[in-house]
Amino acid sequence: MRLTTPTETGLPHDLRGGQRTWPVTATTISGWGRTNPVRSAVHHPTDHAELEAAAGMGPTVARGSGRSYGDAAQNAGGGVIDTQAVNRIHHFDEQTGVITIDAGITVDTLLHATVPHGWFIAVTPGTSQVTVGGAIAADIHGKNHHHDGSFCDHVTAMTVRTGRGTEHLTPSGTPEEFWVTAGGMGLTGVILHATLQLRPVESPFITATTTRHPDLESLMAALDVADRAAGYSVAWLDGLATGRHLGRGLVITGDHSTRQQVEDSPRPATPGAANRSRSMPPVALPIVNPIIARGFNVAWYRLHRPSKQIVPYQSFFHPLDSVSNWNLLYGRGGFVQWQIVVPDEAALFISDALTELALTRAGSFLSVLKRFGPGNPSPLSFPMQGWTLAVDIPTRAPGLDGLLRSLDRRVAAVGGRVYLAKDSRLDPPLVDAMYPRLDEWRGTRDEMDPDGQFRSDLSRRLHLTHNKLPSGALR
Amino acid sequence: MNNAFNIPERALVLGANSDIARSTTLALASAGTTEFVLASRRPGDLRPLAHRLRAAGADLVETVEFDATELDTHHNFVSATWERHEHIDLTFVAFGELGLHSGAVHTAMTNYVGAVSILEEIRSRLQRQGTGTVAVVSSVAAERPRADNYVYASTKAGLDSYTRGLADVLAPTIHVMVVRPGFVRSKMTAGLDPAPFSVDPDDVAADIVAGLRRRSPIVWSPPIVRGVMSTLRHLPGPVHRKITQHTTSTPKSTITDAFR
Ligand SMILES: Cc1cc2nc3c(=O)[nH]c(=O)nc-3n(C[C@H](O)[C@H](O)[C@H](O)COP(=O)(O)OP(=O)(O)OC[C@H]3O[C@@H](n4cnc5c(N)ncnc54)[C@H](O)[C@@H]3O)c2cc1C
Ligand SMILES: NC(=O)c1ccc[n+]([C@@H]2O[C@H](COP(=O)([O-])OP(=O)(O)OC[C@H]3O[C@@H](n4cnc5c(N)ncnc54)[C@H](OP(=O)(O)O)[C@@H]3O)[C@@H](O)[C@H]2O)c1
Repeated sequence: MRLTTPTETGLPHDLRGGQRTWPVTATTISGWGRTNPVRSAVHHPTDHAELEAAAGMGPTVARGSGRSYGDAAQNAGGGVIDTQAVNRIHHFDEQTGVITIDAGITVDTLLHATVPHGWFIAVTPGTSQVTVGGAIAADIHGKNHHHDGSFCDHVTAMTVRTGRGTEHLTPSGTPEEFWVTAGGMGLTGVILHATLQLRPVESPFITATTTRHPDLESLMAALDVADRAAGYSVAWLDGLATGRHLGRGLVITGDHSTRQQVEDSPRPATPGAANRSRSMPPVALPIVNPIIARGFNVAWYRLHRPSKQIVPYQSFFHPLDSVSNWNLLYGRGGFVQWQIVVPDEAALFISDALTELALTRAGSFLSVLKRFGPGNPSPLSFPMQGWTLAVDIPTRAPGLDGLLRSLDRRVAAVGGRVYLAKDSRLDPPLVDAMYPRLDEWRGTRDEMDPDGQFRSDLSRRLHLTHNKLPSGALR
Repeated sequence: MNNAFNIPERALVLGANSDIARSTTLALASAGTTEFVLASRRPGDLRPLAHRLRAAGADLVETVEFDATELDTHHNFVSATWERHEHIDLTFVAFGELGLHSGAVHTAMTNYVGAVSILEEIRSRLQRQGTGTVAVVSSVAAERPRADNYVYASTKAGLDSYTRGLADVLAPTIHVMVVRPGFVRSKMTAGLDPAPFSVDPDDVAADIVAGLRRRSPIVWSPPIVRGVMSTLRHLPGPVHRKITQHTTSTPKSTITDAFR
């Protein structure tokens, strides 16, 4: 990647407000789903001061590891601030499990530092590659949402470079700004660092159980029971099964293994073994076609025997991390992940949606189903009490666009919503229905960003902010 | 912004009074496009289309004056458009004339020079906005001229070649698509005998929207004309001439009439 001065990037996003000491490259970027690649001026600040200064050069948006599926962390023709190089641990109290880190640190790096001391992150997503900044901005959830809530429920403070300057936010001192930034998709500013409360663990292992269920009804019933029995639970289902097999799948539960459980285990596993990464060739091959996906789903379902085992935390939480760049498997057109949540009363919608999605015969690997507990005070946070379903589908699947649009309308009608961190295609008017507190969020956000310094392609596509650009920004 | 299926939110349509453009804008509106900037020599004539687009769910429909042959207006046209709208997701170039009555130079000015002039202005905007789509209506005639349409065919050949080059310049972020229709039953071909494989503007519109979704570099409409043209293109000159002379000397339409 060639380093260029801002004017050489050919993009209008140039220097405003002072001297720049960090590299900026004109780069084509996209989200994990690889739809909508755009050209942005990507800033690469190398330390805290540069990160803070870059955040003052709007219109920009922060980018962590780019693990959001759609266009949340890109800004066509504008600036994108790559936060990954600023990733230090500032303070870690091994007695209380309180840690202060730069927002650019990944969950993986953080866990490597804390697990040996008996502390685990309170909420982890399905990949350890996300940054803490991305986790806060999307208020991510894990397999323990029904007990422990989402990521920002465990953030005790953060420092954010907003459009007004650098602000220190806490849930009790500045509740509005804190909760508008939590789940705020990077649109209140750049999170510089954050303080998290970790949870104590006795080992790096998870005691995990797998059970197999032949249809959706028994799967959902089993998840209901599992929620009460275990700290972590999730169902992986065969998204291509239809008829009486509709919704068949595995329920996977787990709890952090105690020291005793590990000592009693006949075959102590080696921690970290699951983490060796295999790489995909760096080209997009449309390997996921309906036939292969079909075969994979069937094999995956049949090969998993009911079991109870002690496994390294990586293979329980982050199984896909062992193949890097698996997103290339979906081919050149990329793929979308459609993740929704519907309230408990609308649980039947899950079976309708699965039926219609299976009919597209679109090649999809596993679909994920999970129960959420109640949401938190963040106006744009995704989780709410109910059922969440996530399905990966290549964009080239015939009729997919229209099908998802019609399913979205029904999701909105039953009081559910689409997860913005996964979205790349929602109809803008539906966002207001799905996130009824959007206007309240906009109000506080606009106060925090009075000159419209922060924007992303997501915010423009879905009209999340209604600020005009600073004049002259795109001439 | 474009969504993951490359359906634009905001489209600029040049030559919006064309039958193909009308059908395409309506198809886009039902696919989710909500803002339209419609440009034509006679913006007043766009009122019925604007009305239908609003009824189909569009939030914003602007009608503006644009003449492809008024080259010295192009710079200001583009600046003003990008001034009002910070970005344009899809630029659709539909204007063109068959040139049966207007003279060779006028046809060349409209179809080739006019298109290149406006697209060069737009190119630099797209490079700066870092995203977008361009769809340009060429023709199967670009593939091989005939005695009765050689001027038109040559303008489309130039436009087609320009557009494919533009696609290389703007790749990979900006998708540039060449549209090659066969015989379309539109204003332009009114009074001519519809040929085999002839289609309606709505059919071309559907093929265009499908091409956007797939990010196709070239859309043939109907798709079958691709194979036919590939055969015609490889015919030796004398044979091709014979067929086309035969066509022009008989009132009955034949296969080569399909290729306007
Ligand atoms: C395999 C896989 C599994 C996943 N599993 C889950 C899951 O179980 N649960 C879940 O909730 N999500 C899950 N996700 C989604 C992912 O956790 C979120 O999209 C997360 O936001 C990605 O973080 P990132 O660091 O990659 O951020 P990016 O994708 O780079 O950015 C995401 C958003 O965060 C903002 N942002 C990033 N850093 C900062 C910062 N420093 N300051 C302000 N804003 C910032 C960006 O502006 C953008 O809006 C998964 C994704 C993948 C690829
Ligand atoms: N019909 C076919 O068989 C066929 C086949 C292949 C390709 N095409 C191409 O498809 C495109 C659309 O054609 P159509 O079939 O829809 O025919 P159409 O309805 O006649 O459309 C042509 C349009 O071009 C506009 N136009 C002509 N000169 C212009 C100028 N100087 N400035 C601005 N606009 C101008 C006309 O505008 P006014 O309304 O103001 O006159 C008209 O609306 C054309 O590029 C054509 O070459 C057509």
